[in-house]
Order: sequence, then C-alpha cells, then structure tokens
Amino acid sequence: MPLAAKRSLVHGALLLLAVWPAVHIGLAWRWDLSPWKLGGWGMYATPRFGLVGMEVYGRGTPEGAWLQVTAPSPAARDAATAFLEQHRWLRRLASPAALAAALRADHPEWTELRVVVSYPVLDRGTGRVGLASDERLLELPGDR
Amino acid sequence: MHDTPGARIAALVDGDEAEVRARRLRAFEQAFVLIVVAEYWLRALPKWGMLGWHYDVLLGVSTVAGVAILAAPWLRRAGFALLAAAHLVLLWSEFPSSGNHAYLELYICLLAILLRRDDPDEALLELRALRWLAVIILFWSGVQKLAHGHWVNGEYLIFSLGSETYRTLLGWTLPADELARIAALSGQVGEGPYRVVGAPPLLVLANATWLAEIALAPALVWRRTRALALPLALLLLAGIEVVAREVFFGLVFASLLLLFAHGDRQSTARWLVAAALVVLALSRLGVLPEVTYY
Repeated sequence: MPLAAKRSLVHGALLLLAVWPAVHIGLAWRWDLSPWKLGGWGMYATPRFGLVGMEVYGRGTPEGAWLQVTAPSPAARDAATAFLEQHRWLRRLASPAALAAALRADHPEWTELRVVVSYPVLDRGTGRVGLASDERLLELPGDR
Repeated sequence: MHDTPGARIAALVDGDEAEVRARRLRAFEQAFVLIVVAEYWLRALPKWGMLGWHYDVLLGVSTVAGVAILAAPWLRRAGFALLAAAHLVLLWSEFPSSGNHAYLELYICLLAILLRRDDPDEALLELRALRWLAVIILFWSGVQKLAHGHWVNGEYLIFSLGSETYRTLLGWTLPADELARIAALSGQVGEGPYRVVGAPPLLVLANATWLAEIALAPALVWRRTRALALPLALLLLAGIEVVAREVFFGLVFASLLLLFAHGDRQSTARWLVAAALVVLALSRLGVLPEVTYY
C-alpha cells in the first residue's frame, strides 16, 4: 500500500477515534449506555453497580393477564443471563431478541412479552442510590 | 508529510527525535508486547483451568505472537497480526464487557501491522498516531467525567470511599464523622447521600482530576508546554493507578505518554515495564505478598 493511502487510513481512523467518545456520550445520555465500556474512555466517570434484577411476563392475547415467568427452562435462563450481562453495559441498547426467542419456545401460546430490568444508579439530584428501570414490550413473532 | 490539513494536524505532536525514532518505537513495541502477553497470562492464573478452551487458544496464540515479535524482527507484522486476531476474538467473545484498554491494544496492533518501522516516513506516521491516541484518551477521559456529572460534586470519589483501597488512600479528604458514615454504606438502593459538606480537599481533588485530564491533552500537543505536561500526566496516571489498580492499561498508557519525552526514554522504560510485570507475576504466584490489580 502506498504511503499516501496509509496516511489517509491512519488519519481517518484517528479522526473516528477522536469523534467516537462524543457519540458515546450521546448514546449514554439517550440510551443509558455505560461510560465504562466500548472505547469511549469513560472509565470511572460513574459508579459501577453489579446488581441487576429482571422480571419477565408473557400473555397470549392483548387483553389477557400478564403471567410472570417463574420457572424458566435452562435455555431461557441462559438467554436471560446473557441479556442481563449485555444490559449491564448496553442498557437500553441491549437486544432481548434471543431471550424472546427462548421464551417463545417455552410458551408458544404467548404473543406478547414484557421485560422489566431494574438497576441501581447514583442519582445526581439527591446523591442517593436510586433504582432505574428499563421496560420493554415485545410482540412475539407468531407462526400461527 | 506536511501537504494535507490532516498531515499538518498530525504533525502537531512531532518532537525532535528523528535520529532515535526507530529505536524508541522498537522499545515501545517491545514493552507493549510484554504487557499484552503478560496480561493474557496473569488474567488466566487465578482462574486456571476454568476459562475454557478458547482462552487457552488465545493464550497460546498471544504467546507465540509475543515471542515472534520480540525474538524475530522480520516476523514483527505477522506477530502483531496474530496478536490483533487474538484480541479481536477476545473482544467479540466478551462483547460488550471488555475493558477499554483491549480496544487501545487492538489499535496499537493495527498500527504496527500497517506501518513499517524501518521506513522513516512510516515510522513517523506510527509515532504520530500513537501520540495522538494518548491525547485523545486523556482528553475524553476528562470530558466523560464532566459529562456524566458525578465528579463535579465529588460523588464518584465519595461513593468509591466505600472500598477499602480508596478509603486508605483518600480517607484524609473527608472529616472523620463523614468518612465513618460513608464507610457504613454499602451502595444499596435508597442509601446515601454520597455527598458531604465541608470537604474542600475532596472537591478539589475530584475537580482537579477531570480538569487536569482535559488540560493536559492540549498541553502535551503544544511543544512549549510538553516538558511540563508530560511529568504532570504521568503523575496523574500514577495517582489514578494507585487507587484504580488497572495496571495493564496504566502500563500501556504510561508507555504511550513517554513517547512525548525528549529523546529516547522507551529503551529504559521497557526494562522498568518488564520489572513491573515480573513483580506482578510473582505477586499473583504467591511468591511476593498479594497485590490487588486488574
């Protein structure tokens, strides 16, 4: 590769690396993305909490009562663990698709899913540890 | 290399080390490879046998790559390609929980793959890119602390005083009664406030941290302030590392910062890095007293 091309590549990459943290901050503000990860250089910008809780509900009709998942299959449990680990850093950008697919296999009669993830945050207004939540309503793809 | 706006901006970080450029880049790369390979091994030691076959493969690949780069200069780019491949697999398999330093290490590997150290123009390009990486990281580390708002009132540091390490080193910044109150909190929902009244040292420390990160970045670029900015940046990094203990990132970043030093400091720093890694290894093996690091 000629030097000029290498130079353009390096300068372009540096420009991207210089701009990415600004995008990262925007994602954190909009989607609650953790500043700790993904190359935004926001390590230590916020306290890091480990505790995350999740409740999952499903129902078969839009008018039906929500039924909480209390005894997931091993596949659904694995998918939930993976989703929570992603959610710890990606927050509202974490995709529940694999979890939804696993629960769809467990409960073929369900057409809707409600996933509620709760996680601690340090509230800037009060200085106290508060609880934030991310609630997702998902329509399960039907094959009926 | 001053013909385009990009090249002119890139050249802002140039020094006056043309005669030692190749030598210092070589020493930087050697230190870097030692850090990365040691990191693979020292992370594996406490969990030996529990990391799965894929980590064993990465450990083997990174070790072979490291030996190739250190022992056979003609295998430099192939070695860095192997190291980059191992890091890509690691980033992919751990996404999104990999630390930021893994991305930094990947960028450095990619630069080494792309650029030939024995070509003066390419060596200059590599040196510039490495220096700009340090500037970008330093600047945005400060901006992130400001943007997320937990440093202006000292909340991050106060929250961190819940940990023994932070308390031992920064406990003096709080009145004794407030320190006891913070130490009794465990970060549970509803607890707090992680704020104190009458703790000027802590507020000064918290705000000086992000301010210094933001200010030192351009100060490293500007040649007139570089000689002062470099020791201050190293001091800041050392201060952060004493409490945070992210030693692998710290060693890589210190090596990057030293690229701003006048002349060739890398050749000496390489041996200091090697010595530090030996101490860390002996600590993890139980030969020396245990030191917590990540």
